[in-house]
Amino acid sequence: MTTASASNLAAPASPAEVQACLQEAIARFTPISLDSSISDSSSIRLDLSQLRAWRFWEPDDLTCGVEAGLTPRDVQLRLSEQRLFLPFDLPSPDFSLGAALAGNHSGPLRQGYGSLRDFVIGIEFVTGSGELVKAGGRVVKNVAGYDSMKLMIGSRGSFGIITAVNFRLFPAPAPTATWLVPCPGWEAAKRFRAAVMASYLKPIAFELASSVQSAMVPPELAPPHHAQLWALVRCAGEEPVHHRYQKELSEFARQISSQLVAIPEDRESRFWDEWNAWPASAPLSFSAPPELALRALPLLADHARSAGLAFGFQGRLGLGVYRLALRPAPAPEWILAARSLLAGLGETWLTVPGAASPLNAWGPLATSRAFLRELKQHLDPHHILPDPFGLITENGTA
Amino acid sequence: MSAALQSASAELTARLGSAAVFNQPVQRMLYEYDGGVDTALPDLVVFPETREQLQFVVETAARYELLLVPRGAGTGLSGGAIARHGGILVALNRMRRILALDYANQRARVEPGVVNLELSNAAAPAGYYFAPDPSSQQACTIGGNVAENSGGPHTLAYGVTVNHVTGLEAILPDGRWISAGGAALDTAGPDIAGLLTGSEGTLAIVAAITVKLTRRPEAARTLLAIYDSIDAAAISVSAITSAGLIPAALEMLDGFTLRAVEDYIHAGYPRDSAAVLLIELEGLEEEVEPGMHAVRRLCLQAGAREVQLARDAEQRQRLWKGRKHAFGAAGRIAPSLYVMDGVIPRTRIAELLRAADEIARRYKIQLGNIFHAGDGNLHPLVFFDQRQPGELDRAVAASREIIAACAAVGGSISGEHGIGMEKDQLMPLIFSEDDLDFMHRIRAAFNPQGRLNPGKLLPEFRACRETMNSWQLNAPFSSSDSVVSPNV
Repeated sequence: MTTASASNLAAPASPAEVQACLQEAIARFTPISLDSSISDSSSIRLDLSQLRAWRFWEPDDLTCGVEAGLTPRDVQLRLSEQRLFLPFDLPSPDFSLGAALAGNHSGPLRQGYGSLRDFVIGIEFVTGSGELVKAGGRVVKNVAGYDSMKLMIGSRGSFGIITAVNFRLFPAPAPTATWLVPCPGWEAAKRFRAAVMASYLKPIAFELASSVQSAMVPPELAPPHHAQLWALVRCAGEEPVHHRYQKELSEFARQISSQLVAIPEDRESRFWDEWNAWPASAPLSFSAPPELALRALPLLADHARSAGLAFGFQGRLGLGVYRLALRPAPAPEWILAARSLLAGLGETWLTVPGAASPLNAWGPLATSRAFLRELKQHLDPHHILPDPFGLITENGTA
Repeated sequence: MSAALQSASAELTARLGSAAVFNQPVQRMLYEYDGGVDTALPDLVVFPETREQLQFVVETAARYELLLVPRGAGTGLSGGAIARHGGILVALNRMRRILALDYANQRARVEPGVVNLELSNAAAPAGYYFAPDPSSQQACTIGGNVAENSGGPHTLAYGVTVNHVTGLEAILPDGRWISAGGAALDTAGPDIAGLLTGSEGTLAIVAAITVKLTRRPEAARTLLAIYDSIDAAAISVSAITSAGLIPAALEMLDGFTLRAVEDYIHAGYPRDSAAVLLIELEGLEEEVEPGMHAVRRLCLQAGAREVQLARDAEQRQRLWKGRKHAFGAAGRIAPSLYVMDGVIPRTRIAELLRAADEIARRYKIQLGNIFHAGDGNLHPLVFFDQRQPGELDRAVAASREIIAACAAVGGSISGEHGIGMEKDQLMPLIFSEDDLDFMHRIRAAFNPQGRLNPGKLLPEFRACRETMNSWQLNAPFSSSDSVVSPNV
């Protein structure tokens, strides 16, 4: 294990060493931190990047198990040898799997394949009591015991430190094709979404973004008129499937007075890399029932404009999950006011999944805080695990 | 009946009405069963119809320190809805309103007693359905599906219940309500809705469920691949999976079972075959046609003697009717039927079927196989006569050996039926003591006194120990009036 006691940094090389770190944290009454931006001496910061072993790989069974310090890029590289893949397109391919799981990150392919919670089949973690435990297993269907995987994914270390994960894999997709559809306004975007969702098409990605992203579109491809919004559809299949998408999407585009712009095959992969990488830093997250999201986003855009903030967004048009970028970064008061603004619309979630924030970083919790405090107390009795939801400390640390 | 039960019964009858409280033995006996082989008599059966009535039931049980066992339609196969230690059985099948069908957002919100197929039928005019399709979907409730994280033949492509649940509203055994998730996909905080799904009613009682609605596919092709050997059928499953094809469903019936089905349903399965695969592909017309040819080719290469394509909707429905009614057909063969549930890596199907056959011979029991081959989810059927001394014991012993064989090859002891009271003692086959301790801690947070569905999912001796631990852990957060004596 690599340790630097002066800075309280620990870089365990195995799950057993992670377990030892947590046991030491319990003995020293010292909390664990997973946040590289925090470097105080009152916590032990864990760097899990050395957890890089492959536990198993069954190509014919479409399953694998890896340690949490590997990146999706590492995993993808090996899987591609067998034409398999993990539908895991994160904003940064250098996120570790553990970080991606703890933060429940996802990308455009979520439309076609679901999110991490849908294809993680097993997980190993160290508990707040210092035990190395597992949940789930190595098979694609399994209902034995509580699904602790769901408790670990997205909880940012609140209930345990993830050390390894087992995945259900997918065959590499058939050839893909991507089309842009400039939308002249919010109502057009809503109509375009409704048309696609009511059709038999099942795109693997179905996105919407603000026009700030038009810079990604090669100039010769840009349609002549100005578009406020950009919808994006990606399908996987052979030629006849591509033709079917082209035909139906053309009609849907025509119905909103727009037209399809096909991304050339040789540019498609790079286009998606750039798309996933936007925005580069500190976005807000916004989620709502998908159609409701299209009523909420223009309100947020107006709210930003009235505060003198530049507003851009990108996300899953089919699913109602978006990333927001505001420049300059909004004050906590702006976020609180935005939440109030949206409150009357229905179920909306505006959250700050980045660094520590004066307001609760994750916004109002979906489950009552009092109950989550009890759960946290049971699963982290020594208060050594991260507390991003502020269940033990008043405001929490993100 | 204890004084506490008598008082609770009187209060519940006064509030819910006599038609909603069963306290006579002859009434309660109807509820000592589910679809499995275990039985236990509840002390009371109550039928709340509203959220308020459910809350009153839970609060009454808390006041009198009585056990609570939630139940849907009672179609479960692992004893999850049986009152193993008595107490109040809370039958939720009268909370059966579809609260919202929101096609614009592809969501439905339902009460727990809504029957699985009723939701699909309600959404059908708009072209949508609820994807999880257990064989009991004509009777089982969505609340039960949530409790067991139910699957079904089409979950190979579409996932099990948890993949379709986005939000839950549930009541804890102390009467507090929790809301987890919602209609949005990314709500802030831990995925408590995901954790509750599959928790077999041991953490909370679900009162409202938000689920995804799935668009019906444009096209479907149903193939029947016919084999002279089970091994060849199993090899076909591996071949299809490893070729990267994901059919919507990939089901296997062995010769013994398909003949039973054929005698009952006349589905069109060839009686002289050793096994058949029922394979369904769904999607765009442009997708299913080439997919069908690829599957057909792989099956023939693996040794299928013939691959038939259902020529029309009527034949397709008949083939599926055979699969969905297979348990009923099996019930005509022997007085008693034990339906097992285990999961193995899909590449080990042939090996496990041979092992199961050997175990059955050793125990002198008749075994049939019908299962979700694409998921590696086996459902060996044990035929026996419970009236004959020792037959049940032999059936259970053989079944446990088969499940242990699944665990030994890296599989699981349940793919969709749950652990319930059937397999709680088998959990150490796949989980360590520390794994189970963590699960006990989860249960202690939701259900600190162990009054909610006791004796299920986790080995019981641990539950007793953890209940004691949980009181100490929970003390800083418990109000003084919530600390009561354990009932288990």
